[in-house]
Amino acid sequence: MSTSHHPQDEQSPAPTAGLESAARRRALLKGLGKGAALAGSAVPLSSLATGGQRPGMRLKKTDGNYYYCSVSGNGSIMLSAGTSTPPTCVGKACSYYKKDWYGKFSTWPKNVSGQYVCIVGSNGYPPTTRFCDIFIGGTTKTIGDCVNTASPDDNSHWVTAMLNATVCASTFPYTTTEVLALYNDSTQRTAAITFFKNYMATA
Amino acid sequence: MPARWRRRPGIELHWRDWGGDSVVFEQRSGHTYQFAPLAAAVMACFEEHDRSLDELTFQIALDLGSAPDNEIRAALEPIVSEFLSLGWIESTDA
Repeated sequence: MSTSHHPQDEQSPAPTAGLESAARRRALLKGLGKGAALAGSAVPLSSLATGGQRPGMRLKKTDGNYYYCSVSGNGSIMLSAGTSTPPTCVGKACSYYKKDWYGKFSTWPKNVSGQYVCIVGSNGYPPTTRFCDIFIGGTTKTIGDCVNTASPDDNSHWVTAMLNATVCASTFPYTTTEVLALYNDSTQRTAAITFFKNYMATA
Repeated sequence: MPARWRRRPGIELHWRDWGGDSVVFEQRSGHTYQFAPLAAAVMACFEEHDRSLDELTFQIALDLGSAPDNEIRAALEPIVSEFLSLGWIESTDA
């Protein structure tokens, strides 16, 4: 198998541009491995970034920059510079849902009895509920313990996303049912938690 | 003769890579896109010179330290289709 090179003309890339692209290409894939590279390409990130009913939202990434998000016809994210400023699509960080000074999860939603719960669909789960009783196959730690930590892990971020879907319902792109569906979809789970960690924990 | 594609003349792309994310500003439309590393690497291939799908598969496999196979080829096909739809690449027969 050979590669071809075209004679230079004003429409072809300059030699240095080609060298830069080659260097970029190698850097992008260096250390990635076939499995990781192909797994990432199979999950359309746009389906996560524009989930629910909020296309055209503005996202703030953990790098501090804003990106305007809408869906292209091909399923890739289209981040448009735009002149208008749409509302920011955002959620709270995990630390927001930790116990307060009095040992209560006072930032969690309340049920009709005034108890702090994590709402999933039409159910309200107290902090003592095991993670695996909501997110099937997950850890046996309680959802309260998952967020009440100085070192949040993926379990922490799932619970955070679920809480955000209620607490930040006006700005969070997914409902509680949709968050659960993303967890239960093995083809979406990795990309979903990456999206929640990098974009939806910035408030 | 297998299809070959090249970066469309007049397409100017300005890339920025952050580990698992690559963001690119396409000057003509003024739009910004985000791609995973594999898609960004595929476009980088076309920015070097024209390629067929076989050549693309071989190059990407080489960069991944893997043998070129149908799995890699199958992963590259929709990416090439996407860049064609965006108008960033064109057939060399054009």
